[in-house]
Amino acid sequence: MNQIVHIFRKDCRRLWPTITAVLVFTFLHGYGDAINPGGAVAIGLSPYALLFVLTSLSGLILPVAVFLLVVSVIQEESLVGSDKFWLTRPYARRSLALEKLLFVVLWAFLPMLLHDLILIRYFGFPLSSAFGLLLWKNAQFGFFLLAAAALAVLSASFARAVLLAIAAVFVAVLAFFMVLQTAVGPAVVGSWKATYEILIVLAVAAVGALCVVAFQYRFRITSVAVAIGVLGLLICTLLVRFWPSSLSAYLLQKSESPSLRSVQILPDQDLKDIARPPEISDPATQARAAYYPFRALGLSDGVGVELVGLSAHFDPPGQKSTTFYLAAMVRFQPHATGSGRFANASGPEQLVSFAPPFPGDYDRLKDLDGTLSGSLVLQGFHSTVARVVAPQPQQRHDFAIAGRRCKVGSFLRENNFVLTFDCVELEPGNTSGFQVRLVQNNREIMPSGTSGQPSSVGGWPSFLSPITRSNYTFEFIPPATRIGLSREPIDKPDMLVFSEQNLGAVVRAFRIEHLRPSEFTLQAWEQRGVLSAESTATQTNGGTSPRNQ
Amino acid sequence: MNSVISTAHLTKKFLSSEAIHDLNFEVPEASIFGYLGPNGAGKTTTIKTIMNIFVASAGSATVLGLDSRRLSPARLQQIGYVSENQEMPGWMSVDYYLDYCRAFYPDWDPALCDSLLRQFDLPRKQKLKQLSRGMRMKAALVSAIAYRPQLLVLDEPFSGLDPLVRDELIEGILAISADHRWTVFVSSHDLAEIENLVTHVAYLDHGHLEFSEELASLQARFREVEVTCASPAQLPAPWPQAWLKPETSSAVIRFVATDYAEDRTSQQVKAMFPACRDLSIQPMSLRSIFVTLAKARRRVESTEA
Repeated sequence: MNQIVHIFRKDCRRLWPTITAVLVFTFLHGYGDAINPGGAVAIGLSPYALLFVLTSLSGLILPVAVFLLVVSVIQEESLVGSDKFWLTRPYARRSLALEKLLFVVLWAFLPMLLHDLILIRYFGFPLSSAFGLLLWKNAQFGFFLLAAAALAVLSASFARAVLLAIAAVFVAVLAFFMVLQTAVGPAVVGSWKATYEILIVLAVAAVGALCVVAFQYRFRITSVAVAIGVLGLLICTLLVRFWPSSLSAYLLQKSESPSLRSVQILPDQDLKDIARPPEISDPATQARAAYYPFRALGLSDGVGVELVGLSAHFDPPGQKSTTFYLAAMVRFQPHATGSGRFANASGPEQLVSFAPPFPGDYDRLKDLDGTLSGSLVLQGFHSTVARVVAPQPQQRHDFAIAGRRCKVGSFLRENNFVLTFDCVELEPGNTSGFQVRLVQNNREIMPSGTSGQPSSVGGWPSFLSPITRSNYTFEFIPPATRIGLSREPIDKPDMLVFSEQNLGAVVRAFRIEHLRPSEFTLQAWEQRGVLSAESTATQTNGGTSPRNQ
Repeated sequence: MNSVISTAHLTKKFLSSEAIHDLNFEVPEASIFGYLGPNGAGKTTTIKTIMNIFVASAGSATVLGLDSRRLSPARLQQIGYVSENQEMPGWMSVDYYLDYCRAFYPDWDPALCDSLLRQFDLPRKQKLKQLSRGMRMKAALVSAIAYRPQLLVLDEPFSGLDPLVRDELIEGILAISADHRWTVFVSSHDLAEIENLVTHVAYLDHGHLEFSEELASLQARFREVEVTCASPAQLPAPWPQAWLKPETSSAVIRFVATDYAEDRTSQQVKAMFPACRDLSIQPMSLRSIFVTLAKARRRVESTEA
């Protein structure tokens, strides 16, 4: 213990500038998260401008400073090289390793944890609800620290550690792309399949990094430690290459949101009065798209699913099987008339479009009678609506919706009423859609323009902040101006705020017998009188689409 | 007499090249053991293998009675190590460096440390990186001596130092080791600088140990022999293997006897050179002995090649 404290004091004395940098940038990062200097632009050389610049850069500088701190402290007693003065001194290797651990925990890990806790409390989120987030976020940060430590024990200087990091990333990326190129089976839309793979690969990589560090501290044979590191990378690559899709599907099923377990999406040729889907933006895809009606069952109130991908094969008898992909995303949700929670118009019965990837395939298959079967990849969401009084121009007020805290302000721009939202939620952000209407005199006013990103897009590196922030702007044209009559100013309106939370992905199998692509075009369904006059749109955020009344 | 260091078939390879080969020697307790050889002979590799900085490819070394691969912190508290190549924490001042090292050694003697600092005239407040090379070596030596180690390992400690500093260090080492009966293992490629320091000597060349013995015995068995004959003479065949560097110059024959024994060598010379008129036998300096050995080895190698 004495030795640990003794070396620790020496390292603190040696590395105080780096420690200070880490603490300052941790503070600045937290300060930036709290005050959100985002949209403001500071000009000149004032202290505020400097603070603004440093705060803005803290997301980049902080990981570098932490990396530098970890590498520096480990290389104070470098495990590479035979001329280090400590090698012939009575250092206990275990004490040395524990000292480095203590140093990293105290000067990198704890400040970050404290930063997280303060931010969570600052924004009024209960700590109990943030436990899982803190665990996950700090596991990511721990992985970053472990990777830095593994690079440090294999190199003798910071520059070499950086070069080694670049080499490792290069090898990993190269291996990853080589694996993807040779991967068997259809490349099903990424996120749902990749989640568990990434988790497992990260876990294996973490174990590999831990083995490298432990081995070097125990045996100090760099060539063998490098071999262990390379082996770890290789195992990660092989895991990605040979990861069974069935295991992903199983894990996905196990972790399905309870709200989505009862959801079924079934093909049904006899459906009537289906809203006409919008034209596919690419005319070539539209020309070779086949449509089929599907009905969603088991959707509970406020819950919808969006068909975001599929893995399907078209098998005509006696012909080679052909992969079909989803031509356009489709949204299934309870009838709008049954629930006022949804911002977008849609319903539980929809036409789903499929297309082969190449025009040649379509020409070859269009008149064949075959079976289309495979899996539908659905993204679940839960929609919430809140009615809030809109702030007067130049005023701001706070409100909460579906676990996120928002500050809303307003101002007038050339008679248009503009609302700005600064919303905060716990990482990882899962708000996939955010829309606003104004209500004045029992009339809804749609926004004429919006900007903003769904929080589920996420930031990088996500381990730096416990919160995710989204800024939106909605501009409303006073109704009278739109029709050219005297202006009816927007005054003390209410806001209808729609927020959609991502419920995760689910996969459902489907099978359609006797599908002849040329007989299942959009026009064919129209001629059969299956489509209603009403059409639907499927934007998922910041939407400008009309809502069914 | 106990051995403080002993090696058995110690071998170290770096990839395909063998830095040291099958070394067998013993360093007796309380000796000052000179480990000599030209640059690149494998001296530093031997020391690093003994100190468990390198892992031996074959064979083993025992240090203070323990296998070198199991040198524990407790055992390292009894070993002082100074190397010309050792990287020191340049950011530390002399005072802080010694204070930092002190915590690792329960037997640290502050009085001895102070006395050495005064003796070596070290600037206490100055950072190590600001010191001259000689001063840094002195600081390293103080940090390796102040806890009175049983074994002091010095790897080329005097390399590149000016003569004044070198003499100071040698005097310091001699004085301390004599007072405390320490064992000193010192490597050098410069024979003259340690000739007056060592009691035992080993000679390494191209990773091979040529010999390892007490200095007095070495110097006793090496003699420069000059035979003057009545008429110009030829080298007789067969020439004894123990007589190296034979040279003839008219009636004079010179060689180095490596197995000198007063009566026996005189009789051998008389038997080889019956017309011998005069015989001169001179003791040799350590430097002359090594030069003779090195040249003899080179000659053998060129003959083999």
